[in-house]
Amino acid sequence: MAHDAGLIALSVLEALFQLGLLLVLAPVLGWCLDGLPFWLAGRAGGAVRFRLLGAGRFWKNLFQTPLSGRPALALTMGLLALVCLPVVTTGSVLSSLADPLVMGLMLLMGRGFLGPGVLSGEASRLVPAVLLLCLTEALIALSAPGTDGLGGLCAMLHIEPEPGLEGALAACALALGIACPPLRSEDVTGMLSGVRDRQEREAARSIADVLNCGWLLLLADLAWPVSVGLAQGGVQGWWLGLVALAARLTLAVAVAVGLRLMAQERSARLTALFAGVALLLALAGRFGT
Amino acid sequence: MVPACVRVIQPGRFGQAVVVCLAALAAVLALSPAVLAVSLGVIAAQERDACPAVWSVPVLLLSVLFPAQTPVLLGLLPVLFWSALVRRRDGGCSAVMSILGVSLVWHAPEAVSAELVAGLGVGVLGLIGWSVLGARRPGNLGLLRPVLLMVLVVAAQDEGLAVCARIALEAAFLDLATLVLTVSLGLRFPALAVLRLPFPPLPGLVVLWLGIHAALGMAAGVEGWSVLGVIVALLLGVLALSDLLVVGRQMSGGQAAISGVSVLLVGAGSLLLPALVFGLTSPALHGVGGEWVWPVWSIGAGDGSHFRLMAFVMVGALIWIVLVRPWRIMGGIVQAASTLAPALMTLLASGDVLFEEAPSLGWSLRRFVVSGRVRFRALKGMKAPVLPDLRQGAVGLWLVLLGLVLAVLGVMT
Repeated sequence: MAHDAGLIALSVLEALFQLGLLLVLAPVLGWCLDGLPFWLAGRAGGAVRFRLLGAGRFWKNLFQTPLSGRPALALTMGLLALVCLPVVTTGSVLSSLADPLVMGLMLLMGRGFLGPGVLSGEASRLVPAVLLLCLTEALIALSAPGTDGLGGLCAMLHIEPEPGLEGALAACALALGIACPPLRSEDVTGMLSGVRDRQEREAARSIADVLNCGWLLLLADLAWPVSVGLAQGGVQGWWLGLVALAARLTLAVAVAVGLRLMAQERSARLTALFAGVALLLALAGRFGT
Repeated sequence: MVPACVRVIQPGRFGQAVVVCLAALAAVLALSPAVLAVSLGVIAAQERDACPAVWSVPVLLLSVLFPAQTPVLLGLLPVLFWSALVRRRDGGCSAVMSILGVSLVWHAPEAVSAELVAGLGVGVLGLIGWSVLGARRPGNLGLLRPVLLMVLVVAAQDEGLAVCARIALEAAFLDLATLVLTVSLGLRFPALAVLRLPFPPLPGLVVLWLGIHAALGMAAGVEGWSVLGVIVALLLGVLALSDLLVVGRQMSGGQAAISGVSVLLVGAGSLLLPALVFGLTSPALHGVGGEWVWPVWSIGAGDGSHFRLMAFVMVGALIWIVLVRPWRIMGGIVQAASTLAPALMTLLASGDVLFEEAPSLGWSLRRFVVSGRVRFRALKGMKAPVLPDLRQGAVGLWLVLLGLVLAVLGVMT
């Protein structure tokens, strides 16, 4: 009994740790997405310090004044994604809620509630993204029946590697990244066109960072599910999971920035190509065994 | 029976309409296919925007003569959904038509499910293509989803996959329940249409999730359903996207302010509707198959994955309430929730852009058409074989060939 209680307390602690870590990482990732292309081109962007300070101000304000309903819903979606998705190991308390379709649709809905307006051309991102999420869910159910969400998938792939499914998921993640790239700072500016209040604008930017972090994490988890540690891995497995998290997120940011620099974002042809590759790999993996 | 319920729904008598629709579902499911055909004929005669008689009369006759044949079933679909999908009229009748379509498929266990899925898919894609070219929004394509789910039920029962059939039946019942709720209470509470959206944690997402898992459960159990299962999953995704458009249109007709009762109904619906529907229809569900469970805390998909809806809603609601702190603002939680409606409306309206303007064929496509004509003419007068340069499309060609091989492999094994 005491052993069980200890395990539950550990999983709750892990969920809180993962939430805190990702909330600190969110502004850093946001800076990478916005500033890294400028930095690579040899131009000066804002320092990462300002981004972190802005996020700190946002959270401090949040304790004093409550948010209004709409941005609060967007932030709720982001926080739920960060706390549910498997991050370091699969042993956090809410990781059983992390279904790829549910998490993806939740983050897409959060994007819609970020500002009073939506992005121009949001429909042309939403439509392929929803279809790709359905495809991802279908391929997981096809190639690995019996797994329960992303956490179960990570655990299963540790025990029984399935290269066809892993390749298909990586292709799906790439297609999702191409069809629906993370929000850029000018996107957020466009969505906030009617908002005058400075505090509200800064809050929306911080919430966009949280949503972007959730989206990148979902894509990274889909692209490389084996790198998530097992719940029974012990201390060494936990540290390994932490290192793998850093590697996974770095890879996701590098791919997102690379796609942006090469102007390959939202290319319908590439999206269809990678979706087709995912389907072929999954079918090949299924019939090959 | 059926014309009476149509008459009840049209003026908008809310409470009775729900009861009558549920009674109609139960009665029609239990009735014989011949009675179904007669009721179809009666409705087709009463409806103003019904299918043209040139099509509907022979098909209805055929459906009496040869009940439960796949081509006849597919031919009956336009008779059922003409006013909703071609004339794009919303109304109580459409829900009844959806129920009738479900029971038609239910009474046709020997129909070929692959052909039905193909017919439904071609119909959906054709209707969407027609609306894109005509620059009009498509009708309520979500009405076809219960029929598609029922095809899954019949196919799974045919193959002896009882669990899979039950999951698909759960999804179909939940979808019909949201449809009937939206139609019957929609005049008074337009916000209830939100329940059909495929966003978490609304019941529309539960339907989508259950449907995808049921389709792929068939793929795991039956050889030959791998490709078909993925196609059904994508079709469900397309139908979910069309729900976004329809709900946006239905909600924009109502007033902007949202009453407290609507907020309560949407909240309670997203939390309790799946459990309520599965509980009420449990005799039918367990008659179809599976062990006796009442999915309240976690909805199982039959293949090992679970959707823990209650935990999800409760954690999300807790975070949102802590962020909003409704006890510190005027109007409390209702005020905070009604600020969500305009944002949701803009999100839903973003899809209308796709149907605003008819696409003019781009120059590359026109050039393609014209050059195709020229090549065809050149082909006729050709002496020596000179092949056109197709090296650009080589990768695509290989992918298509590989896909064909795998699809054949999937069908053969």
